[in-house]
Amino acid sequence: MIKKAGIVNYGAGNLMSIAKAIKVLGLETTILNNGKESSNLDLLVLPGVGNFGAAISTIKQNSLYEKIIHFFRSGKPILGICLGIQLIFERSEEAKNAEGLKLFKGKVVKFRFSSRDTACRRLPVPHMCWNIVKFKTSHPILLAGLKVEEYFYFVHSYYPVPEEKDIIFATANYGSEFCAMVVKGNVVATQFHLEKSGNIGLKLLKNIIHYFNKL
Amino acid sequence: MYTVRVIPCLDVKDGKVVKGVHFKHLRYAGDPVELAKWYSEEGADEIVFLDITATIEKRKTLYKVVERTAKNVFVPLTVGGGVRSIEDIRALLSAGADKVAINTAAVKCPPLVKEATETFGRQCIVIAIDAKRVKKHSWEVYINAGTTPTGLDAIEWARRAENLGAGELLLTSIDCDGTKQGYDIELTGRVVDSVSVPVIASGGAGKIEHFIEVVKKANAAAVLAASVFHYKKYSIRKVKVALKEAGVNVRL
Repeated sequence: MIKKAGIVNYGAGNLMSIAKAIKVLGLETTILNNGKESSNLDLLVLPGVGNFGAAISTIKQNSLYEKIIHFFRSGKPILGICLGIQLIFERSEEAKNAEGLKLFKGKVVKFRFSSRDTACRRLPVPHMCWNIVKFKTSHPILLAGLKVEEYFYFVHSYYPVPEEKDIIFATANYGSEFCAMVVKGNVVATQFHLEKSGNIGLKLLKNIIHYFNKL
Repeated sequence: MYTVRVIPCLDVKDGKVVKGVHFKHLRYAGDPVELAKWYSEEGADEIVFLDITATIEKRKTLYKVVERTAKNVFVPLTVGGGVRSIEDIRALLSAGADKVAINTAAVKCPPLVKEATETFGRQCIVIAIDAKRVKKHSWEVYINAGTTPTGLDAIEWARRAENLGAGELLLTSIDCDGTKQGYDIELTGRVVDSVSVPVIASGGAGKIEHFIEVVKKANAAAVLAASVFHYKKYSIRKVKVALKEAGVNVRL
């Protein structure tokens, strides 16, 4: 049973929103600044703030890298949100010399729109709006009470391209289709902000916790 | 699919929501905590909270109000007003803001914007631009809540703000603010065409057609309004339904 979530602090940005949403669901939260702190966590959250390179370097400096890898290998739940879904892959165009957490094979790329395509040329970057997320498969726990397509809030300029296509749980379309959510074993990650997507976001977050409880 | 955001704006003075005309003649329009909760549940895509008192003595009260407001809001919350330093931004983020809008300090000290976007990420930093028409096709940037002209051209400043790293621009027409006569379509269109970050159109919404017009003619990424929502002339939902019927993608 998940009781306490550790929100990994990359050294910048707002951890309040996700902490608030997790607390609403009745869980305890703690901000994890260093991997050597507090070992009795049931869930690690990689939240959605900052820059890929800066986040990875903070994670490595503060012994958080070992903590995350240990969690991953021992089958304990990890939830990634926004930048969090990007960090779990191998590398990103946002920081060419940085290595990601490499939990999964794949890279993170930037939205690029061909200048010939006039419809796409109008799309601003960052992709900052509510967008339709299409769930690829049905799932009795994760998608309980949700429709096949729901609106979620996005704020990002980069998105993940997993090598193993079967981990892609949902996609969204912004100029072209991209991976919006991955699920594999003890890892669930979303490119959109669960904590900023109103009641639907809270519902999916609740389902994810439920899914983790059943692991 | 791109969806246009509909954003209610809370102009907050001494902890209360107020609304004026051309940035003056303020009158009471409600409690920010209650209004934000109401809008968040009613389908607002985002909420903007601008502190227009913004004096140093009152900052602490502001953080408390932001904290109370954010508590019941599970959609993005942008907070602005009197932001002068990295510490101010950090304090607002810890109070529960998701994004911080910078106006006067960005003009006076552009390196602050760069430092802020490098520290918190560009998605977190909104540059608010208050512009006033000075010639037929030309607008000047005003600061200090619309009281001080800067000599800066609004279009050039918008481009510069994007280069400094702003994640989006909140563009308010001082001429149109509070008039309910419609957004400044030309100004909004010119800024949208000059930058690639999202532009929030603000100032002048009074009728449903105004929202449709600024999206269709000027390509605004988001539409912001205050009094039409506070005084319940239109609900957020009504505006979104009308946009959808006009062929604009919105979240319903």
